[in-house]
Amino acid sequence: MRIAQHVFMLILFLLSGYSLAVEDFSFDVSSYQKKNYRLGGYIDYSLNYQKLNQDAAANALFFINKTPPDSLTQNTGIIELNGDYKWDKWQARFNFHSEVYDNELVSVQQSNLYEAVATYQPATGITLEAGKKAIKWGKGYAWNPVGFVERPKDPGEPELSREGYAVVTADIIKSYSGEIKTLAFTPVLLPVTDKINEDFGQVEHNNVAAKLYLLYKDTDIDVVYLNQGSRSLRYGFDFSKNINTQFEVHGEWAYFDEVTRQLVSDSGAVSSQTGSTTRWLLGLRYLTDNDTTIIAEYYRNNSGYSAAEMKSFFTAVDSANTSNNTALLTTLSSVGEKSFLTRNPGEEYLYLRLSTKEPFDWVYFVPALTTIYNLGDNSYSLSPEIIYTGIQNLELRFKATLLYGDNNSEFLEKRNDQRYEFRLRYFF
Amino acid sequence: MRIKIVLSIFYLVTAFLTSAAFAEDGTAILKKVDRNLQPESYEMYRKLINIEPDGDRKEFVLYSIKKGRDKMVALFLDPPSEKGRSSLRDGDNMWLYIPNVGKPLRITSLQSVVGGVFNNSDILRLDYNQEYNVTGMKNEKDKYILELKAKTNSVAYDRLKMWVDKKNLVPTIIEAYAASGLLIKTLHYSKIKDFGNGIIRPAMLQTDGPLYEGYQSIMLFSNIKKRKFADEVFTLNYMSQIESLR
Repeated sequence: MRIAQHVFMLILFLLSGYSLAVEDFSFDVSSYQKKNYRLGGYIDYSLNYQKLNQDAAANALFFINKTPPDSLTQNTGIIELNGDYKWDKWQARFNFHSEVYDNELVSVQQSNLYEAVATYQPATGITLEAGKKAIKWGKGYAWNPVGFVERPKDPGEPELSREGYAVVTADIIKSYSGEIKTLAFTPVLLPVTDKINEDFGQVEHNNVAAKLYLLYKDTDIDVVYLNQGSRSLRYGFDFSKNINTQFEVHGEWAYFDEVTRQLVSDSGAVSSQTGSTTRWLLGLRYLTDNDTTIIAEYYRNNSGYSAAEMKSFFTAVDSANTSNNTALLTTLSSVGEKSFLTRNPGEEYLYLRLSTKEPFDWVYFVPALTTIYNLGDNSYSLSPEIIYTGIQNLELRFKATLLYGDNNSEFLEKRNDQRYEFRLRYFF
Repeated sequence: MRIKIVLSIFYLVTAFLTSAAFAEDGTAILKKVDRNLQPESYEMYRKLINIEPDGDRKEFVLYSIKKGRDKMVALFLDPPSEKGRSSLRDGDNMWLYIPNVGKPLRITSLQSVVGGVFNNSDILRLDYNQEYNVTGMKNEKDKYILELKAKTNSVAYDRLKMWVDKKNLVPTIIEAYAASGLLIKTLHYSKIKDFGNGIIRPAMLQTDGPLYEGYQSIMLFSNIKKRKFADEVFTLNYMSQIESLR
């Protein structure tokens, strides 16, 4: 009996050894040969449950004279399709975004051409482009004060693609062997009429922006500029540098010649202030020995609202809601949409994101924790999430977002105080 | 007493000269190893296979180009979730471009864009003699064993121990150590292949390490060709256009 067992074990051993020995890896490169065209993208489905904060100012202004529901369940489907076609020195590329969402209140379908650009490369290092393009400037991960010609980024989802503007732009790159290793100049012409880029700012302006990039002593430096036109004059710079093999630092600083901010008193009186301002951020990216990536950023917006200014707005909304003052609620809703109720309207924020690849041998799992903290009123969001990528071309994500703070603070006055989302994304 | 001092000095000078001579020989050998592994400027295709402890695999296909001593770019061709991403290295500087994000972000060399045992500096590896000094060499029957020390602290591994096949002057095994002396990973080169134009080198690189128990990563090389590129190709602004070079 024991001999039979030994023979069986020996056969198993030989078979396993054999299977290792014949393990072969092949690479047929012919299936990756270059084609003139490329088409790709993803399909995304998400199920989202939101527990609404029925006492929040955002809901008082959204559901004027109505009682907000206790919760909302939303189904969202997204298709993002991108591709390009090349011939000789020319290239045409596009990024098409279409989404459908449906909850107890609305059902919406919207499609948009995020990008559609024609590119001409007369020589290596010179690129001319015309069309709709998403230009993204700045080194910050969550915020970009120097992003003068782009739509605002969602700090909660900074890696999502965004719609561009119709521009004519160029990129001229030059390399050197001295302390300045690279010099690149990117001028941008962004016209605004009542039909083109009308949401950028005042119409009938040809806006000129530019970026000068230097790789100087192993530091990335950008100097950026936007002329007075549809928006006020603004300029600034950013930088980024690797300190060692695990540590990167970055920063941005921007000056705005004229910024108008609306203020609301406790009684609901609306006033405006206009003046110059600066916005800046400092950040770092650090990789720990156990493969945890830490991204931390401090953001200062000197034209943002202080805790007291935010509190006055929320107090005015609360009073108008209690007294059923529909006219004032409508006014405050209109003011709030462009100011107090936008993403991160405060003066000072801290962003912190920790993510670890496959901890505790959880193969293909990446858990992460993100917080955005308003240092003025000590309210914050906390978002734990886990991503699973174990199935070819599929990404599954579960994310919760919980909001904390005192009454009359930014995050507690948002529409929901808890949000749970399951997302399934298929890449093709 | 005087004789003892003279003898000591003689021994010291001899030892110094011998080690210097070894380093010199070793440096020459390392330079040949570098040239045999890859031309100074070239393009190539690579497949990366990450094998998880449960046997599951993840595969990535990269198109890579290199120029001179310290410039390299890798563009992801597959899988679709990574397609269009590119990583650039210029000396100690590294960046990652993700099409959706739309701008390059600085990354650190010890980070891993693809997961598994290979980190960014393995994928964007420069010549060994660019990053390491030879501090010792053993001459054995059919192989050299080179001891390498990082030239600066921005190099991913502090020390390397490299076994070099005498016949083809290519590495067979490389052990990578941290400054603490900890073995981080072991690289195994195999399957010597003639890629044409005098490029004869291993077509496969396997790696594992005590920090990645049960994990294994494999790199397969294909279509390695000498090719010249303009310096401007190895810049941040060009990262979104690497595909046009294929």
